[in-house]
Amino acid sequence: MTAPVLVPWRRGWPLVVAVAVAQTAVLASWRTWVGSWPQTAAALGQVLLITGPVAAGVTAWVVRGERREGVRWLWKASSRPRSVPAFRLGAECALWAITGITLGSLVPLVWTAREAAFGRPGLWVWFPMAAGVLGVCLLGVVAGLGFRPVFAAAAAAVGIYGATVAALFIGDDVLAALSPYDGRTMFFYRVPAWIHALQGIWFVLAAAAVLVRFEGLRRASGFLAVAAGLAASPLLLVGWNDRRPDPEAMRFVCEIGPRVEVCLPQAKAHMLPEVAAAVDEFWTVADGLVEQGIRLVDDEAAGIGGFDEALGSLPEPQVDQVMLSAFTDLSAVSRLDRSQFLGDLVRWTVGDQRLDPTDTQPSRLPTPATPAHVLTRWFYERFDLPLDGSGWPGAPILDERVVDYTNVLDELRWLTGLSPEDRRGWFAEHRSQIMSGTLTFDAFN
Amino acid sequence: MAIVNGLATGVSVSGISKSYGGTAALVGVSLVLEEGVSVLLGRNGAGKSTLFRILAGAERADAGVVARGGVILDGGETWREHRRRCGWLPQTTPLIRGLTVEEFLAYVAWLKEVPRSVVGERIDAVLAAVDLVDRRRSRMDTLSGGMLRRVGVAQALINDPGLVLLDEPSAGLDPVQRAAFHRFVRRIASERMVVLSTHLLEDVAAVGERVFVIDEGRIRFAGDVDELAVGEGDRTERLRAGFLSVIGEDGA
Repeated sequence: MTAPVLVPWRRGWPLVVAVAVAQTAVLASWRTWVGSWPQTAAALGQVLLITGPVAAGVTAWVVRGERREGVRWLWKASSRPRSVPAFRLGAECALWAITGITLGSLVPLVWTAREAAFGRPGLWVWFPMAAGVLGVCLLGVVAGLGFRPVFAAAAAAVGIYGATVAALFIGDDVLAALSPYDGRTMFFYRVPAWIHALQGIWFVLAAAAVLVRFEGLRRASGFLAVAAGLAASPLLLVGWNDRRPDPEAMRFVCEIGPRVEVCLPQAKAHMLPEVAAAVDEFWTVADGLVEQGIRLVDDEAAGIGGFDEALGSLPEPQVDQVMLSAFTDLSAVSRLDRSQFLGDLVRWTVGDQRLDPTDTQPSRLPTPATPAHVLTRWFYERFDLPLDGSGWPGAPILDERVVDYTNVLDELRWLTGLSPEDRRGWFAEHRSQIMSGTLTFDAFN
Repeated sequence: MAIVNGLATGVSVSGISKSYGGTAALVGVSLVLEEGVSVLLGRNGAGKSTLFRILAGAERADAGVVARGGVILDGGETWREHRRRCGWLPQTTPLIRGLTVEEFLAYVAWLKEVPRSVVGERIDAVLAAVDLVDRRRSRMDTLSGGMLRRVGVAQALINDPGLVLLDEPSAGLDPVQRAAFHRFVRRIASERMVVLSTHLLEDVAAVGERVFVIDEGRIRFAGDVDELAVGEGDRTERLRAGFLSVIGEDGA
């Protein structure tokens, strides 16, 4: 017997493709999730901002087709309870949309599985995601039935997107509490399963309330709305504090290199090799300028319950211990931006003075190069970092447009021509002046 | 549930009125439908489709009652049971692009709560009845207008209904198909109530037993087909004369 499916594969594939492509495209543009299970789960929740409107729009497009072809009359003459055919169509579309989301999630899941050094897949996040998709598909059905066919898909997509953005604008904490859309860093947190469950349940109930109200069933709609409110209440009461710190995620993992020891929390341990490599690369070039035997510690989790214990569990440092926040910011990223990291290290060591003349004297460009400019340019050339500010967000602009190097070419050549041993000695001799920003051109000979 | 005295069988409507935005589509319509073929005859816009939508349970009347088997359909459950046992071909054939004929019929069977165990044999039966067995796996959007209309008739029969409402079912059929359709209607009417809405007197002459002439939302004539036929000529001609006389368009 043929299964009574209204949206078989041959009708549902556009929904699968649209959602999967949207999901993949959005996730590929983010750098926040690779290698971290909680971050991957959070990213999958956030991507609903795009996949939700896509699913709702395509559903409305399907429904408006049924309506135009007279199927709505069949629904009205059905012996099923009034809103059941509409609900079923929404559910079938949601199944295809969830299939699209699942396909679109395969790449990030496989990627994270390959790279993650800690944690496990957060499967519970799938529940509010799937429920969210079901909810927006039900709203897509309402749009498909309620709006003029030519506008239905756009109205559904724009409506869902606009509502989400408006919720973000009005209160991102409320949105984070009520939905899987949560822009906060999740490296050191877990979200309890009951929160995920209620996030899914209240939204489906609310969307169902809208649908049955549209079908003229006021009592059922009221009942569903009250049930949705009851399901959402605990989430609103917990609000912004719905995450639980994960002490295990904060426990430090260290890599002891020949010059520097790097310690990252377990949640970011997958970044340890690339951070250690970048640190070693810098220390090799800056040999003599910065002390050997330093310990760099990622303190992103500072302020979260359990961080002090994790820090205290590190062996007593025999060398200087420097927090990464002293010179860079690795928060909310799960992949190291080598250029930015090296640039931050250069800025940290060459001095704290502002290097970018556009910050201070925009009317007198280019400005004459300072010793700090000479050193910075030399480091940038060694690390192959661009001087035009294009290397990373917020990178200083240090090229000829803003800094006049014509009078310091001899100094640059001199510094480049030093042997490693001579350079180490020169760095060691002028270390304090360089790091304090008081170096003069007299030192370059 | 209430019992209507004197209405032990059939479907009846009493005092049905319906307006759309202040325009009256039906005004105090009352009629009784019994086994066999009844024809609702009227001009375009006379109110035939509105009455069918109300009879099919797809729309509510502003006033009046519908009863079936002596039971007034006055609540969700009575209407639901009526819809389960009613088949309806709307004026525009429902079409779900991308579905095959078989899938579409299975979906309508689900809408009508046909038990899953019998859906397969019901599909076989209705496809055989409308002579579309070889189109079972064809996609609906590849069918001709005539075939699509037959699929529409098939879906109206999928739940083996006691009341079949066919709204202008012969529209789009060629003369050969129309003759076959008339035979088909006579066949299915032997065991159920069939109501045809049409403005084609040929249909009335070929299959009608009782006829209701509706005009401007009011029933102008109710009786046997032969009672409507007046004057001379063949049956269709005499029906035309009677019909025009009833609606006041006979030039008198």
